[in-house]
Amino acid sequence: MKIIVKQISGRTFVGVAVLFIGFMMAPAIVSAGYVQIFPSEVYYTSGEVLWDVTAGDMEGMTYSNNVAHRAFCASREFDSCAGSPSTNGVTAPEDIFSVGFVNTTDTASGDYYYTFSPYNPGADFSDCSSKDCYYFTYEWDNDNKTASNGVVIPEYGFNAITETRFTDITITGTSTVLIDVEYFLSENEINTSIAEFNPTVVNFNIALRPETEFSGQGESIDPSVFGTSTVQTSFAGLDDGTYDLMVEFGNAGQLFGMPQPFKYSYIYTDFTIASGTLSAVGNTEFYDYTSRIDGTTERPCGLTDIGGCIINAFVYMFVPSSQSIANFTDTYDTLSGKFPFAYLTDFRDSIGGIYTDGTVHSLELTVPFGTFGDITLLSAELLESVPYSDLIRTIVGAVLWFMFGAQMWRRTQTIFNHNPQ
Amino acid sequence: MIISAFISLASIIVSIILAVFPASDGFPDEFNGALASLGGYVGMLDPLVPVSTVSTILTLVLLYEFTVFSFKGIVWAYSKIPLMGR
Repeated sequence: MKIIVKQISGRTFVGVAVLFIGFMMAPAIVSAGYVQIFPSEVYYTSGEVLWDVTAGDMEGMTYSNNVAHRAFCASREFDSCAGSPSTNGVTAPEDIFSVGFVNTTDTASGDYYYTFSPYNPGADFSDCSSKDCYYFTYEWDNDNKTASNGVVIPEYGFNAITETRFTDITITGTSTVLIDVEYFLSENEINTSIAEFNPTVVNFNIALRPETEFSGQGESIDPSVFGTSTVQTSFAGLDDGTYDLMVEFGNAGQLFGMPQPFKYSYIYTDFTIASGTLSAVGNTEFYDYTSRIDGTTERPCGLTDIGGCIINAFVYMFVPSSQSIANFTDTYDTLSGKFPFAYLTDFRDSIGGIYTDGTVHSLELTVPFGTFGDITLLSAELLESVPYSDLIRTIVGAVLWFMFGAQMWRRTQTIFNHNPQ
Repeated sequence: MIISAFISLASIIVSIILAVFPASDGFPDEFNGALASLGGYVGMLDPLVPVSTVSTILTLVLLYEFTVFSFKGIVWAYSKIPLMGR
C-alpha cells in the first residue's frame, strides 16, 4: 500500500487529478453555459420574443429573481406563477411541451438568462438551490429587436414523452389515392392560449423519387377536439413512380415564423403508382418524441444491418446509461450542497450571475465639477462610443482565453514537475 | 458499459467521501449583496471587456485550483490511515 501511495504522489497524480478534475468540472461546465447541449429557436413577433423550448422534462419553470422579466410557466398544475411577482402564468403543456416557450419583453440590450426548475408542489419556484435547473441564455439587441446566441442548457438529459402523435395511416384507392390518418391530440399538450402554437392542419407532403423536394397539401383539423380523430386527403392524377410520403402537423402560424407544433411527431411511408393506379404501399414508420434517435437508441441489427450491430456494440460499451448519468448528477448535487465544496459552487453561481442583472448598464462613475455639474468619467454608454469597440472587445476576449490557456498549461506543468515519480 | 462503470464507481467513491462533510448554508446574504453590487460596476466595462468571459475564466480557474487542492487533501488524508496509508 505504501507503494500505491508513493505512486499516487508521482506521475499517477497527474492522471488521476485530470480524471478528478473532469469529474468535478463536467457538470459545472454544463451549468455554467460552456456546452451547448440542446439548441432552442427564437421568434420575434409583435414586440415579444418567443422562444421555442422544444425539449425538456420541465413540468414547470421559473426564472432567476434578479432578472426583471416575465416567463410563461409550462405546466397545467403550475398555474401558481404568482408566487414570483414578475411571472405570468399561462396554461401550457404538462410534461414535455413541444410548443413550450418563454415570452420575454426586453427593454435593454445585453445578455440575459433564465433559470427553469421542475415543478415541485410546495417548493419555492425561484429557488434553484436544488441545482435541478435548466439555464436559458440569450443575447438581446434592443436596437434591432433581435436575439442571438440563445441556447437552452439542461444540466442533464431529457426524458421527454409527448402523447400527441400520429397513430395510424391507411392508403387506398386506384387512380385517386386516398390517405386516411389517425392522430391523437392530448388535452394536456395543446396550448389553448396561443392559437399559433396549436396543430390546426395535417400536412401531406409527397416527393416522386428520386426527387427529395417535398410538396403537398394540408387538411384542416380542429385542435380543440382532443383524443383520437382521423383526417383524410386525396391525390389524383399522379405520375407513375414511387412517392415518398411525409405526414406532419402544421399551423398557419409557421408561415410567419412560428414554430411547427409537435414537429417530432410525423409519419414516413411510400406508395407506388403504376399505369395510373395505386399498386403498392411501402413500410410505414411512425415517429414521435420518444422515437428520436439519440446516442442510446438501439439500431436494427441483423444480417442486412451489420452496421447497426456494430453501432449497438459501441453504444453498449461506451455510451453511459441514463442511470449512471443520473447517479453522477445526484453526486454532483450532493457535492454542491456540502461544506466546503458548496462555497465553490455558490461562488461560481454568484460571479456567473453578477452580469445577468438587468441594471448592469445603468451605473456610471461621475464626479462633481463645480458649476459645470457632474462629469461622467466612466459609463457603459461612454465606452460603447469608443471607435471599434466591438473589435476591441473581441480581441480582449481572445487574449483573455489565450492567457487562461497558457496559465493552465503552466500550472499543470508545475504540478507534474513538483511530483516526480 | 465501460463509461457507465467508471461513472458509477466515481459517483460511489465521491458519495462515500462526501458523507463525512456537513451540509453547507451557503454564503451570507451580505456577501451575495456585495457581489450583486460589484456586478453593476463591472458591467460598465462590458462594451470593451467581455465580462461574461472574465467570469467564466475566473470560474474555471477556481474549479481547477479547488480540485487540485481537494485531491491533495484526499491523498494526504489517505496517507494518514493506519496500516493503509503507509
